[in-house]
Amino acid sequence: MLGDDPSSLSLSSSFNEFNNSSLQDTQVFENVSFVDGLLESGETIKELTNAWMNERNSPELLTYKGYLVNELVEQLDYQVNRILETPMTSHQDKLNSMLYQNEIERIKFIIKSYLRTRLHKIEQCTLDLLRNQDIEELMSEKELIYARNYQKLVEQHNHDSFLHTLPERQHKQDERSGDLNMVVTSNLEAPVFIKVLENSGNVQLARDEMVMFEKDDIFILRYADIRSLLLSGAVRLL
Amino acid sequence: MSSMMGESSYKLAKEAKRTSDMLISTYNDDLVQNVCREIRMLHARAEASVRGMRNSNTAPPNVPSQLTQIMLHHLTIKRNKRILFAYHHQRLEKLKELSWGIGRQSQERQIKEALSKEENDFLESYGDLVNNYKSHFLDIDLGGNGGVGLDPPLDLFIEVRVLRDAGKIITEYGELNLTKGNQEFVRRSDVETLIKAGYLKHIA
Repeated sequence: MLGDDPSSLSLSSSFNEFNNSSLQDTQVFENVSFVDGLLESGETIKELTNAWMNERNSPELLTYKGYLVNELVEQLDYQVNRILETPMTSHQDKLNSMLYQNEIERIKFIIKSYLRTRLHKIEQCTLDLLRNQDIEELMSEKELIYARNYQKLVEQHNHDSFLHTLPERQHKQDERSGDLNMVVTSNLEAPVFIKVLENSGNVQLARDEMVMFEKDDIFILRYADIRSLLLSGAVRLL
Repeated sequence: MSSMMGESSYKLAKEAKRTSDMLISTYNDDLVQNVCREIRMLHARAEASVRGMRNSNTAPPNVPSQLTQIMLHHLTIKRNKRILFAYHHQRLEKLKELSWGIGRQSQERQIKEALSKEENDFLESYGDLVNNYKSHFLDIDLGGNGGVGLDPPLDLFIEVRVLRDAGKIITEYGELNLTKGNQEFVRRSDVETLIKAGYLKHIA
């Protein structure tokens, strides 16, 4: 029974913390953990939240964190079933159920936003991404299928709409001329806000500038400068 | 045959800019065909020039006026092509936005009339492509098609008033019976589609 479970004590204490922290604070995710020993999910949620923030703010497509998404989808399913099965006897039960459901909705939102942001980026730079060698790591299988089909669809549409009326030599859809390139690439020079996670000492930026990176510093700079740091996990995007 | 080079494509570009705010404008088939015709003509002329130069025995080909002419034709062709791509691309972006936003509902007929046949095909195929991807994440409900939007969830349950009879709705957590005039306290995720479709009204 939920009421007898000693870990329900942790739930009420975490509820007190829930009261104190603001509702916008993503730290709430760490405190409202699943009862019954599924505490590892707390870490997964935090990692997914970070991945989501990085993805939203970066100008290029980042590596797909499939292991996070898949695990959370499973957990969500399990959790929903648990909620449906537990009998709602006391007020405490009902409150617990509401808290779990709230958490579920919020996690669903993050997954949804993460996936859709990625789809959007894939649509922007499809051909460029498809020509990238590391594509297997970058996208999930389904995203890869989506990217290929989308590219085919757009090329087909262009061809059928006007390209077929032109002489054959003009049919190519990936030409370059001077500075212009028909294949869209992501803008790596875009500015981003970063928060430093580890002390990285002096960092070399482009144009021979050096900046001191200490933990919890916040900077705004060009994405290209901190790209490698982002990939290694030394910084995160805000 | 006295139209200026690039005039039609200029008009096309202006139209694209002008209609960028609208829902979607009618596909300007005439202008597009004009631009294509111009490209073909320029291409033919450029080819004729090159052939002429190759056949004549001036070596090295040192007739600047001919070279300039070929160069001009080439650049105009590329520019026309660029504008054609830009025009179509802008329309496609609009279509995709509509497909994710309002889906294919109230203004469907109005939209369909404004599109070319190829664009209608694109819209359908794109819808299929997206549905295919969504099918892997059915539990999460990626939204789109007039349903769930991309706003963060505020409350779990909301007050709604029923505007039209929607009958019995089966949700993940149970059944709902929606009859006109009733006020219900329902889960947000269940009713977002219905609110967008106009069956329910959210009460603050």
